[in-house]
Amino acid sequence: MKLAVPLTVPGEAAILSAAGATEFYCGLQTAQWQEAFGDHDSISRRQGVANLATLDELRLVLDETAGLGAPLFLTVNSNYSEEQLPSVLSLIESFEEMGGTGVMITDIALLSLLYKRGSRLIRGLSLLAAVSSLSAVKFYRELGVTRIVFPRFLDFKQISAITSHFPEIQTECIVWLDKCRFIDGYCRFMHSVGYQGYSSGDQDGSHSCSGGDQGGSQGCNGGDQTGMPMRTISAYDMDYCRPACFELLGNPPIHPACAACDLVALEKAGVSIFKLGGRGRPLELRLSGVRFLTAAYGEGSQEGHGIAIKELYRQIFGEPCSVEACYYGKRSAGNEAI
Amino acid sequence: MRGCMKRYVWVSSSEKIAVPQCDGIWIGSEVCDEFLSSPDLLKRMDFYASAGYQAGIIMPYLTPEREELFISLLNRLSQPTEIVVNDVGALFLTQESIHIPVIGRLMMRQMSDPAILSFYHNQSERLINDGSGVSKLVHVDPPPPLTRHLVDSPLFSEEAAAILLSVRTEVTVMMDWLPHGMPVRIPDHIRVMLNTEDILVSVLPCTDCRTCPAAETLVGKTRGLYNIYRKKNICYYKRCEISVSDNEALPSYVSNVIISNPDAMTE
Repeated sequence: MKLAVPLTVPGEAAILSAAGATEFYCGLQTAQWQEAFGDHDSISRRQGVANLATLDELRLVLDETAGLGAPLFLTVNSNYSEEQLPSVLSLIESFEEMGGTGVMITDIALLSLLYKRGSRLIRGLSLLAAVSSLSAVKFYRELGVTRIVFPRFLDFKQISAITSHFPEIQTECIVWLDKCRFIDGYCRFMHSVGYQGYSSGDQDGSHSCSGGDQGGSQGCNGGDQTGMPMRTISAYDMDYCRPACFELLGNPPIHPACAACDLVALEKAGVSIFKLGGRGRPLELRLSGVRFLTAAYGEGSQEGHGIAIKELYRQIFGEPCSVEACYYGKRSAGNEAI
Repeated sequence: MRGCMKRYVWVSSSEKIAVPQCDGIWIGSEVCDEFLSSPDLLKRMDFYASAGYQAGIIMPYLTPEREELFISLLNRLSQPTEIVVNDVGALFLTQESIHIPVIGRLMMRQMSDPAILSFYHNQSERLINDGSGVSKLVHVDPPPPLTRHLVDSPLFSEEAAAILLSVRTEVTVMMDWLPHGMPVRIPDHIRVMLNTEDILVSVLPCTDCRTCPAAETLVGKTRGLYNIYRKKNICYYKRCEISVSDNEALPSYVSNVIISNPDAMTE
């Protein structure tokens, strides 16, 4: 079983590898990017501290993963304007020169440019590309794509229909955290906060202001109870309290969403890499995911594995799993949810 | 350009055949394939064509099952027909056929969250507590390059446009008229059909057709300001409910608009 796990800072790879992670991915948002385009999710669909901050950090992480014999992918899975493309290309070229393994991409223009430049990096399609048909795979294959993360709405039969036609394409499914009831690749709600002068890095609404997850222009007024000097934060997104999907659909389950009961079924459908979400989330949470999924995979081929895996979930996370937290279970992802 | 602007109406296949006050008809859905297997579809296309309308088809994003239906449809349409494609798979198949692809909204990937409009409202400063202490939050406008990122489609870069135009000399794209702004310039040889009413903001996965609401329902509000509606698996907001400048004009590059009101049709 291959587990692809996100890294946020140097020093995490060895810990996660010891628990069972086999490859890694990360984003990078430099000060230069932030100065030009604001502290927003415009380079990797994650903001602030969910990303590494400098090329030196990226080099360090690459050294660490190379030392473990584990591939490292750079996530550049936003869509870019004409003026952003040169900066993204430059970043990718630096990553390639350092010896990086591959990139996760959504933008068609970026794929085409890398193809024309003869990039040696593995070109992987992000979940956000929403590849769900044979003809889409053919299209992207002509742009040099050799790896795909499937969107969550595909069932095992549909995945199998695609993988059986393209045995040369490596395929991934997300199996941990970050489950949304919308289709990620077709959703335009923003999760980023929109700061200019201060990097919060929150991705999950946990930046919610004191007393406020009600949203709305009444805002999130807090009081100065610390006696510390007050910082000034320049922001263009003054109303933000939590993502729109939380406002519309309610907060997600407290305990992690997963596809642990379906790992073997996904593997039989041709999926070769299981990806954990959670860029920017605490190391401990990612670590618990790696340990849990490794154990669940061990149970997966046994008869009655679903019961054993659910019990494992309850033991590790202290609560039973639920349909809301289940990636592929009945009613878990559908339109009945609204 | 504006003098010859054409008006299109977008209908689903389940509505009765009627004669609308417009120049052209789009039939179909970006998310639902119900109409694709309907024997009625080609009859409707013939009806509108014989009544003098330009008639085209809007395709949902493809799955392996839909792909088979779509290939069959491409073969059954005997005349070159405009087809709105909503993923690269459908684009690829249409480019290889006699038919004419129009790039749909799901492919255009406009950043349509109505919250972006709030970025440009100069709001009063206030205090927040972000967990590490109290800070003063003051408003600034987004840097211009970020604004361009927020209003441009990624398909408007020179490189992406070259892919869209690889087999044609010009291509039409369907866009929403975003309340927070539209691209200032678009590449040569791209024509824009503008959807002026319901702005797509998200899509739910398909599950059970029996519980999928065909009628408009209010899902809720975001930011306490913006109503989000749902019809079938599309979530959207209504441009007319958003406060935008009174004198806002259609961008000059728009060649066609979708008025999308079947109720205005007369039998």
